[in-house]
Amino acid sequence: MLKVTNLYKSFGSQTVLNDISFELADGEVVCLRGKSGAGKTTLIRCICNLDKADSGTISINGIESLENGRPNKAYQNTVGMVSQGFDLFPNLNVMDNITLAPVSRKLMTKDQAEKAAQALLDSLGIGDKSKSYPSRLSGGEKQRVAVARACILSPSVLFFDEPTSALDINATREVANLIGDIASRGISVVIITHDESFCDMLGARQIVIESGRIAE
Amino acid sequence: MEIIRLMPRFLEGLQLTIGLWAIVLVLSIPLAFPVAFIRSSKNKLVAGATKFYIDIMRGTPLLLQMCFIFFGLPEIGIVFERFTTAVVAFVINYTAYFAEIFRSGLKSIDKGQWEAGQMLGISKPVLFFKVILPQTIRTVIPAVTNEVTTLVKDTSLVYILGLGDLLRQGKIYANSLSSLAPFVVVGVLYFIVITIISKGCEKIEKSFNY
Amino acid sequence: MKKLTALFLSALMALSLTACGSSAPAPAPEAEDKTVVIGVDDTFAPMGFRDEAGNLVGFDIDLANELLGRLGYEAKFQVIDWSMKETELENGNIDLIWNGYTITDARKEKVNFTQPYLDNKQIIVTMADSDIAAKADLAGKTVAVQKESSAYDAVMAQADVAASLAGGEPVQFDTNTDAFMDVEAGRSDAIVVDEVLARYYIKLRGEEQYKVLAEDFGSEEYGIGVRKADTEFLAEIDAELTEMINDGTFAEIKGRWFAE
Repeated sequence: MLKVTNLYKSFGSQTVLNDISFELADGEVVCLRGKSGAGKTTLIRCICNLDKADSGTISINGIESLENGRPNKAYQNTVGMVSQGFDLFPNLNVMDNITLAPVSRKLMTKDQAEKAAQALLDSLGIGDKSKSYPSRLSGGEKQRVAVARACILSPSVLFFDEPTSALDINATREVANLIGDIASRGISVVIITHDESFCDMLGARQIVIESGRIAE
Repeated sequence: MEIIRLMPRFLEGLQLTIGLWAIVLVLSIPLAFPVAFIRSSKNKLVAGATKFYIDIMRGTPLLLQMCFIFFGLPEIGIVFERFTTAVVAFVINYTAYFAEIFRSGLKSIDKGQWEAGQMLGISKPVLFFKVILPQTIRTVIPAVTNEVTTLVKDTSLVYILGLGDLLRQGKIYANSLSSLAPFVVVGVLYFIVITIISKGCEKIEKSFNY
Repeated sequence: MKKLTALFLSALMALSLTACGSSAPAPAPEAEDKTVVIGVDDTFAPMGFRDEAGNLVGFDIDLANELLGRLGYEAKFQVIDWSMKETELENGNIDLIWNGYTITDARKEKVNFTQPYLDNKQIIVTMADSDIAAKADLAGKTVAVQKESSAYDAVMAQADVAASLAGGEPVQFDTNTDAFMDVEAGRSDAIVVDEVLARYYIKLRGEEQYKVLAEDFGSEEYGIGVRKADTEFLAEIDAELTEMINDGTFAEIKGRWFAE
């Protein structure tokens, strides 16, 4: 369970997050909506420890995001991110993109990691792409690789930043299916989007952010 | 015909040219990486000092730097041999150029990759050597190739130290034979060497294809 | 070609007893080990240059070996860039500048010169069958010189002669070799050139082909450059130079390198 309490963050004189609190159950899907500049991205960057909030607490399953003011490693393992540009490593093929983290962190042997990665790719419908380089993949395939790369570390919460930007209706539906699939494995999903119809398609709870505050 | 008999002389010159070229590359490329990092350091003093060094190296002629090291430094008791002077001057000069190339290469790598690595809990050294560095190398190869071939031609500046590089050998025999043929031979030799080096760099570039 | 080889062989023999330390490091003080380091430009034929085997040879090389040998010194030759010669001398990298070193007032302020040992005139050379016999005959003719050379300056200094030439000034070439070839090709009628260089080229290419006019465009003199502080050494060299001129050794060495 993700729990965000009284989060504040400002850049200079501009308050970007103003007393944000919410909770998210295991396997729940939530859409973060709002205009650009409303603070959505800053919020999930803070939850992911990519930015530091000025005050407030964040915890997942009781593990705090910070430990003595520094990012908590145990916490970091519980969050995963599929960013807007996916940020795949272009010099590594799909398999190496997915296995680099578990193998270099000695969480799995190379063999175990490759088996797990292949299973993930198969379940995401891109089992035949393991040797491809990212530049050879379509946008949708890259997204799935990014999902697999995050999921191999078994996160509790997975964040998506604008997963449907520039997608047509069919592709959007596929992403919705993919997210439903992830949630059904008990992983909570937080989606930044300004696409209301996509939220409806997911049937997800919506949190609307306006000027750094939660509206509705 | 005398040109054929003179080939050993030209090859001696070529040996000095290639030797200097190789020593300078082997020293300056590894040195340039730390310099590039220090140059991008958050510590303003260190970064500023490095920028000053790079600006001096790029803002003054290499020939002048070499003269300064050979004729100027002895005034304060630092004396280098002629060949050592050439190596020192070229290495500090080319390190500055390579450092700037590497810095822009590192900068061109999307910040998102560092963050993706952080999200995945990949340690910074692993991320650097497995992900960032290979991409940087690929990005900078064309610019590095340029510098590497320019270096071959730049070595002829050692004439100021009286060192007998390939071009000087050409000059010597053009004058003593009263013929332009030695210059033609020298030009062909430079061309062959640079062609080989360019082909090598192309191969390296291809090996980084992804 | 045989002539050239013979020339080189004789030069080799002259040098056979001398170690040629062209890339030797900075010298030890000459007074102690009797080694004198001479700064030379090895691209300057025929004063100092390299033979086919890469050995340093030339008129000044022979002269220096002979003169310093007589004084009990060992001559070591250090290749330098000619533009840096006075700095190299001052820094102590070399002890003498001795390589077709023209005596000028500006240089006299930086170094001491020995007596002049060679005249370098700006002479006029034509093909042997040319009807040009004097400076006046150059009117309307095409005259070749090396670009930015002292020959060019010398011709331009005599404004009336320069103005009388075809085109109102000499035609400039990158090298003296180019200028010579243009005369041989018949495009230029005459060349104005350093006598020292000209005599050497003429000797290489065959003396019978060319004609050297009696008139010239002025002359300069070569001397040996010595550090201002080394006054005793200067006197020593000067005295021995006089001796070599008197006993005929100088003329003998000169004959090896220059056409009459």
